[in-house]
Amino acid sequence: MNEKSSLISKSTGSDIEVKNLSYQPGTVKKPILQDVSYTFTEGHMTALLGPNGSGKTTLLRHILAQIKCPEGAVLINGKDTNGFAPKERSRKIAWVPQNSSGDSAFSVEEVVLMARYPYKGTWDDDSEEDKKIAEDAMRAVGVLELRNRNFPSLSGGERQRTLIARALAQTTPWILLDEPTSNLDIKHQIGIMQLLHERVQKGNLSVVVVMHDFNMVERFCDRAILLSDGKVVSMGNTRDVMTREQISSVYETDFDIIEKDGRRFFFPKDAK
Amino acid sequence: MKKEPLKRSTMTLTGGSLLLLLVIVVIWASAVGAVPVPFVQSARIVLAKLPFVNKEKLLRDIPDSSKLIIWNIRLPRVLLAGLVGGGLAAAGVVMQALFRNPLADPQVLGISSGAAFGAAVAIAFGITFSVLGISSIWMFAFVGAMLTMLLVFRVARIATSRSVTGILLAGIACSSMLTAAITLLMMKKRDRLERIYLWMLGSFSSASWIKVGFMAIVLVGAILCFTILGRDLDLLSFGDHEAQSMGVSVKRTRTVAVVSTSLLVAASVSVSGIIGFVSLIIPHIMRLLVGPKNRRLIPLSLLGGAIFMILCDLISRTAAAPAEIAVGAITQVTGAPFFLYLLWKERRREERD
Repeated sequence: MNEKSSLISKSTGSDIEVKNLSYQPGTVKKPILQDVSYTFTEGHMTALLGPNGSGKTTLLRHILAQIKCPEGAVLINGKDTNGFAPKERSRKIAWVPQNSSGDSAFSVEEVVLMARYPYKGTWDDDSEEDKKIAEDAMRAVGVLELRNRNFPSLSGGERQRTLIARALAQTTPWILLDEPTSNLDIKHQIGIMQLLHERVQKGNLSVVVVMHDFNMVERFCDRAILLSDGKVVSMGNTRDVMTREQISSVYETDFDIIEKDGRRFFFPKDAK
Repeated sequence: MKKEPLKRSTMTLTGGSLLLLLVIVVIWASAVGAVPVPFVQSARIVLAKLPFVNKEKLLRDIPDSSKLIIWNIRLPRVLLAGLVGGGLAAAGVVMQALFRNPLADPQVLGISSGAAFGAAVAIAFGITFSVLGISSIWMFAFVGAMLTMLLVFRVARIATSRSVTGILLAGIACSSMLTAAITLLMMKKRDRLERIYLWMLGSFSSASWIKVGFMAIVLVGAILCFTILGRDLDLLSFGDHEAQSMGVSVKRTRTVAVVSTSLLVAASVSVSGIIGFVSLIIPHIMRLLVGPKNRRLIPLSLLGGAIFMILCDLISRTAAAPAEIAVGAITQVTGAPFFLYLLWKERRREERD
């Protein structure tokens, strides 16, 4: 997974500030988010932790302005996320959904090239630069040899990697990923996380990633937020957030933690 | 399922051949009829109307009657069929992208019935005025088409947006409701029954140059909108959220698409009545040829739809001459089995997933 200069975002990143966000749609008895505040600072890889239904995806969706904030706000570089034109926002934040609903017979390359949309006028065709960027993105996640395959005909893991390539080709300072490794084999799990990590280290990218694999988080993410029932239980450095007490109580599972070579390894025992 | 990337030349070749075919079909369809005119003469008569050609030389020793038949009767009819067919096929491409459903079609979803109902209301209650040459009947048809489209869209989204059947059921319900309403109108206003009934059938027998001009203007406007939206519609195939995250103004795209397709469907219905399934067959065939990119599908479907409709109309007026078969019946006969086939294929795909 080699670094290619064309994938580096052109604009500088800035912080994503979540301010007192509460969210409770009319049909739901319990609030999904309760007074969540956190500032995602640039230059970090932040893990979004929490059990199913704790509000992780909803938080991402607020940042992406897929849901309007009834209470509180999400500010990108000091400006409300809802105040952005879609094209403008999509030059700052790319999104890798957990599952893609794309079912048209576009080729992998065409799908990845779609990410160049925010940089193009109505009548612009895909430029040589766009094609180079898409190619580099496909190579980075190992889908280059699939470039002419139909997107719907891909396996789950191949689709997921295509979506990650698409997000990379969007050359944004921020990428938000929703369980990006859930369908991947171990080689590609590590590969993708390493790729993102490297870019963050080089200062080209800031990442927010929803993850359930503590060992991956421990290895690659330097920041973490732990959500439970829509509330922030803990946030800050990964080491301070992922303590045995907090993880065990929020996930209702006992953990063993073993330290080796300065890294902690998490072993789930019994569910409580 | 490896496929070669589609070369620009493939697209040019397909487009070029369709364009050539269209020209031939226009001339041929103008030549055929109760009074046959040789193909070459027909070509010369059609060509003579183009600017910057030597009319005298072209039209030498062609009988006046042939000129009159082609120019006043057949050509407007052929062109109107072409414009409506092309328009409906292009509208089909956009509707299928908008509803994210390969079975979306103005007739299947009841949009055509909505337009016909609007028109029927105007006729039944004698609302006839015109603003800047645009008749009230067409305006009513437009409002009918757009309201139906919005309604179907709403209902289908409530009934789980990804299901093929949800949207079809919504369309069928709207369509039967509107057809029943039209029938009621016809019962109430028996004196206008025949005029309303003509709308339901679909026919180009009342073609005129005025209708050709009107249809051409609406078509050019709609196709321009469609082409502008082409790339947005590609991205929209990934759903609202993914499209938005890549920079698409989902609301704007949807509004422009709904308004422009409604205008086009309403215009088609108002000049020729309800003609179904063109918007289903042609885009599907074109998709097999050039893939799912809307900017390719729209112009090719336009050409393909025009050719298909001109041929269907040719059958409609020659197969049982001197009687006419409604062209709507002919597109139905070819289209309905095709629709069933698509439905069957779609079900199989859903079961596989």
